[in-house]
Amino acid sequence: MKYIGVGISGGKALGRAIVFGHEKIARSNNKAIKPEAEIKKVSFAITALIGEYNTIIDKGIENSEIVSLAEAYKMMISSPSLCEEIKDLIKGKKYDAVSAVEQVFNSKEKELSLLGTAYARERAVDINSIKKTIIRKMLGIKDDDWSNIDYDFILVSKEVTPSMLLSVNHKHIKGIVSEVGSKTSHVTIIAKSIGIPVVFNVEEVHRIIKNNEILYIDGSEGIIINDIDSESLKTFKEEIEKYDALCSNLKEMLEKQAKTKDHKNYEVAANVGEATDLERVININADGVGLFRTEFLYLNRDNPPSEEMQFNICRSFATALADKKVIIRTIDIGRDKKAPFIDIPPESNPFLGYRAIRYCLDNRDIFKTQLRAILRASKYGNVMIMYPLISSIDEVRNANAILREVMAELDEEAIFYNKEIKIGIMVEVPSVAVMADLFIDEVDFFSIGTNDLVQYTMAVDRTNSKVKELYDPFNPAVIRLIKKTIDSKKDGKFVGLCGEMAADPRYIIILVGLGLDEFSVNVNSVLKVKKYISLLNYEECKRIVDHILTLKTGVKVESYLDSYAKEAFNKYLDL
Amino acid sequence: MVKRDVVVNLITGLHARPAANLVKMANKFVCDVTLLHNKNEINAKDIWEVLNGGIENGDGLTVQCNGKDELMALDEICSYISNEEVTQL
Repeated sequence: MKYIGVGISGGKALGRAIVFGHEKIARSNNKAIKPEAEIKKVSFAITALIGEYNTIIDKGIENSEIVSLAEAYKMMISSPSLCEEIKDLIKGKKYDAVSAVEQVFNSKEKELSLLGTAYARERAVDINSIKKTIIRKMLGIKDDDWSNIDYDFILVSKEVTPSMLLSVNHKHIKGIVSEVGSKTSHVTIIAKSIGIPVVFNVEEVHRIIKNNEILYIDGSEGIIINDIDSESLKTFKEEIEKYDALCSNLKEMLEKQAKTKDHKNYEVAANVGEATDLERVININADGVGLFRTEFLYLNRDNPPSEEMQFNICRSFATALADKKVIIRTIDIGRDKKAPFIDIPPESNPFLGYRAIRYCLDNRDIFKTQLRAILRASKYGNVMIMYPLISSIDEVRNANAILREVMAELDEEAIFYNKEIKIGIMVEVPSVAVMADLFIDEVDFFSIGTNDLVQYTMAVDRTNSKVKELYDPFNPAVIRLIKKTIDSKKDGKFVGLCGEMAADPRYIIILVGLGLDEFSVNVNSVLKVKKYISLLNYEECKRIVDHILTLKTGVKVESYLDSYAKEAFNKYLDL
Repeated sequence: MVKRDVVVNLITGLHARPAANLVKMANKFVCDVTLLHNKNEINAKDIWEVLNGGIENGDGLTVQCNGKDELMALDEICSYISNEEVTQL
């Protein structure tokens, strides 16, 4: 059976399922009769757990993420103030060991949740997971010992906690599947650093999957498959082998430029949506950041982020990437992904409503703070500003007027910034694409946002299953708009494209042929896109585009490209 | 007693691992290490106090050290928190 979830970390793997159960911990809520005995129980459990963390730390596991997490957890449970609080409850209020631990950890968890930032909320998850581990130890619940597993396994649970990851043998963990999970959790961070696939949002997965059964996981597609017969097992094994071979093959692209066989160069930059993505962008040696989504700074928090915080994060990227581009897109929020402190009333059609630049032009305080932070960071590297959802020339001019105001303020305060900072816009509304030859005079660059461009061109909501067939990036109208945008380039300005299409091998043929300057894709796809480009010939792609422009339907375009892609990319199509 | 104002420059603020690093560092010294942040006094040697301080990237705070090795402690802790090399994640 195949189950669909959300892929969080890419890769393919096979392994035996280890299903962590979540039985309720049954216990009586007794008053402690002998406080001394209860205190002993707590210290035994804590000492035992410290011992386990020490083993992880001392083992010198190669993965530094795991070690530093174990160190942080160890520090939390060996804190003297924590132990005092627990003891006080047992001695003073006659709590039993379990209730005391529960009470103290719950209040810590609550305090952290109240801080109202996404990171703090994630840490509350950590605390909950430590609490449960200690309580199970005190109740003498013997967890199955997974620390010596010597076969490849896939961890399955309703929610995979960092503690679970610390208690298994890391050499053999091949994947993680759960119903609940978040992409900023420690579990995700660790999985990405080990390089194993992760799939979240698989409903009831801990009930569906049986312990020890063989499981196939594909983190790029976001699927898991069980009930595997011997024939498909063979196929999966071959697929994984092929995939692994191709991936290690791709490493050769790390130091290479994206260049076609006939020596035309392209840039392949990365899309970023978390502060912690920086390390991955550097490791993959991307040609900068083509799309810095700033929404993560605003979502999941109760108050606006400070200018200093935004500045620091932008500066970290600017400094670390030196002369490579860092294209920062200003806030792109709307009713569909709103921040708690941003008041956008319900709308019947948020995608056509009050969002992104439209909101910013009206709410100048938030916009100006962001622009200030970006401008201040611009002196540390090659930072550029990009406005989202532009639909008219006036909006560009109004946004630039605000930018000039902010610049004047900085000048007055004698704060340095790059006065020549490049300003660009997202091309995602057809009204901009059809008039790209006039828009180009107003800006330094375009970045085509294909997801929205397709949606707005075809007038289709792709999350609506009744009409999603109409969402077709290969529709000739979409291709013409992209062509028009790229053709409008002049005076040393450039055109990039950020969106899923930039990583689609068939679309890459079109974009190479159209002479796109910069592809901006997820960090995971950077090497792949470089590889695809290196297998193409610019002059030939130009001829393909010429032919495609004579085709009248998306289906025709797609099938023509399909057959060409098979020939050009061959085995690399499986990536 | 010595003190110095710094701006936090740790990409995720003082959460979990950076907090653990700071606490480990503070505990190497015999002096008291206190962080003054939003009118809170945070004992930098206690991980729970640091975590609950809700200190974010970009926040300003005062590091205060009091004891025998206060000068060394102040230098090391301030340079960790304000992290000029920026690549520290």
